[in-house]
Amino acid sequence: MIRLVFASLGNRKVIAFLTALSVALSVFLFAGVEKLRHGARMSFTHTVSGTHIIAGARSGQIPLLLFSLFHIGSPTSNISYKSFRKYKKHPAVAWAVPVSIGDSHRGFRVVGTAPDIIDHYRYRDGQKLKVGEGTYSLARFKAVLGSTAARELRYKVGDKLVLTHGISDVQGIHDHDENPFMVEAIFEPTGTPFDKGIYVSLESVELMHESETHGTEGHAEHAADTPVKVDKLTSFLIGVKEPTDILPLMRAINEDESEPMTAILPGVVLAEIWNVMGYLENILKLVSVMVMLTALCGLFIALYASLAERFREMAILRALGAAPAKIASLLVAESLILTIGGILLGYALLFLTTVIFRGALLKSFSVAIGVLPLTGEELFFLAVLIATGMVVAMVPAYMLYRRALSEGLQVTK
Amino acid sequence: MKQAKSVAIQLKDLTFAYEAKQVLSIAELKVVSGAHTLIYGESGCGKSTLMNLLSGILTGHTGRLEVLGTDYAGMKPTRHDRFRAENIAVIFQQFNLIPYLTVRENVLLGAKLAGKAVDVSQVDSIFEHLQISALAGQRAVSLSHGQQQRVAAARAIAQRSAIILADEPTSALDDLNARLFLDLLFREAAEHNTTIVVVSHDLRYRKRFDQVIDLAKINKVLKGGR
Repeated sequence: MIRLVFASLGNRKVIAFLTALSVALSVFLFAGVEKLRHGARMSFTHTVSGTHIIAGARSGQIPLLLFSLFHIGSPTSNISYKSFRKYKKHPAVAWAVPVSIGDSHRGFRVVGTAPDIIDHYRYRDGQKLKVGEGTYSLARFKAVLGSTAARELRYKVGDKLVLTHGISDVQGIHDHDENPFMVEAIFEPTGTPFDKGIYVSLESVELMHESETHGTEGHAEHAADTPVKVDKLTSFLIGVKEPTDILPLMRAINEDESEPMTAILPGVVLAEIWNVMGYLENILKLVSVMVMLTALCGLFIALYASLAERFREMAILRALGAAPAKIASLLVAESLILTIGGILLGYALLFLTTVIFRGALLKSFSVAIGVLPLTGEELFFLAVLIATGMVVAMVPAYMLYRRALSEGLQVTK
Repeated sequence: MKQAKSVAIQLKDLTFAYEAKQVLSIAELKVVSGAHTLIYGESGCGKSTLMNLLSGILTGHTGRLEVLGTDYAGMKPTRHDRFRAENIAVIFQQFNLIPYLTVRENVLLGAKLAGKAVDVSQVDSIFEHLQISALAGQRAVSLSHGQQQRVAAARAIAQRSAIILADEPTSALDDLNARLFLDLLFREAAEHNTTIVVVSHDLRYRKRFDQVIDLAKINKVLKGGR
């Protein structure tokens, strides 16, 4: 009987293909929205990975995370470099990287940090930072740009840039124009807010402000061999040696009597922020549900139309003695082939699209999408789609037995 | 009980109406097992209606209609289908071949759907006799009317049913092919004691039948019917 199924489909190649295509487009649309929703969530909540604790001056958890990772907002106060060194040497700490924000360049935040940030900072499932262009050193008065910053500012390796004190979209009176930085490298896109930063060494920031305070100019000649004492920083990122060290270390920082500080778990705070912005995800979910309902209607119409035209054929089979279950199984088999074929085609289209547009999405929207793994919502949708395909096939089979056989055969009376 | 075995088809006071208009009213009709019966009449006299009632494709009659001892009264559609598959092969006026299947697949389909064992050598022999061996691999949709009619006939014969009902089975055949078909039909019927009922307006071959019935005379709905 399987030969009958494939012969029937082969006989209606164009209609069968169009039916499968309509299923494929529905799957493509639904899965595409799902991937974007999932990608947006993952890109946000996996902004940082492997950083167990963020510590900064005493403040709220969300502001500390926002200015440390997203470079949004400004800290109300700084913490001492001494505290950073103290915890960097803490026996439970595997690594610690300083973060100092305050300056900007044409609207992009400048992050003062340590050169070893490239060794420790991880994002989305432990991925490492990669240098796309140039040579990374984060030496004095060298800047390394995040991919978005480089693209939007149209900087390339070797260009010079002048930092502005505070956050400003325009260059102006607060420029540190006597201490220009040279772009030495550009990071590859990460799909996280990291891409929007301009990274310089803490020493450079300190030197720049110091030279301006003391009226010294021309850093390049003396800066490389001048020892620099860093006093303050905004926050620092910590990776612990053992997961069991996280909570005791957090407590130690939060209760540190030498300097009031706040320590947070970035993963927890990121999830909290995402929940606060949950309405955005709910909108995407609503879009997904609407796409799903439209897809199910489309599938029902496409399959029903293609099966209804075969009413006479089914009546012939019945006249020859095919049992109801056999006719139903033929229709269900055809419908399943079209539905599953459509699903595979839809995911093939999605795969192709993600391959083509993955880079652009990452660059433009900082959203990383991939076909696998399938989300729970997708699996549910696929199950409903397959069930619909089966039910739709049952309808003509049921109708065939409800209506007189003579109608199906169009016999003369 | 003895009579039920010897009578393949029995009608008594059978009436059938379509959309409140009575089209068939037959007081009595008997077809003996293994007999070859020709029921003839002009177009519109109810030949196909009678054929479809006998096969169970049309339902809703009143009166008695018994086939192989089974009363059709109150029979459910699925039971009709099963009964037809097991006992009756139909050569439809419109052939009713599956267009995208090959000739061989169409011929085998009837027996397969009825769950009967298929004798391939018998099918080859039918093909040979009806001169359609060369068409065996062709799709039904590509055949001429005459070729399709022969395939429909081959399908019915290959089903090896107790009764073969044929609605205008020679309408699209030339004289040679009509004779070839009837030769085969009667030979197979004789071998397996098959009851044959042919409805047709073609009286060229009336002498080959055991019983020839003018439907106009037994259908009381028609002028002249008794």
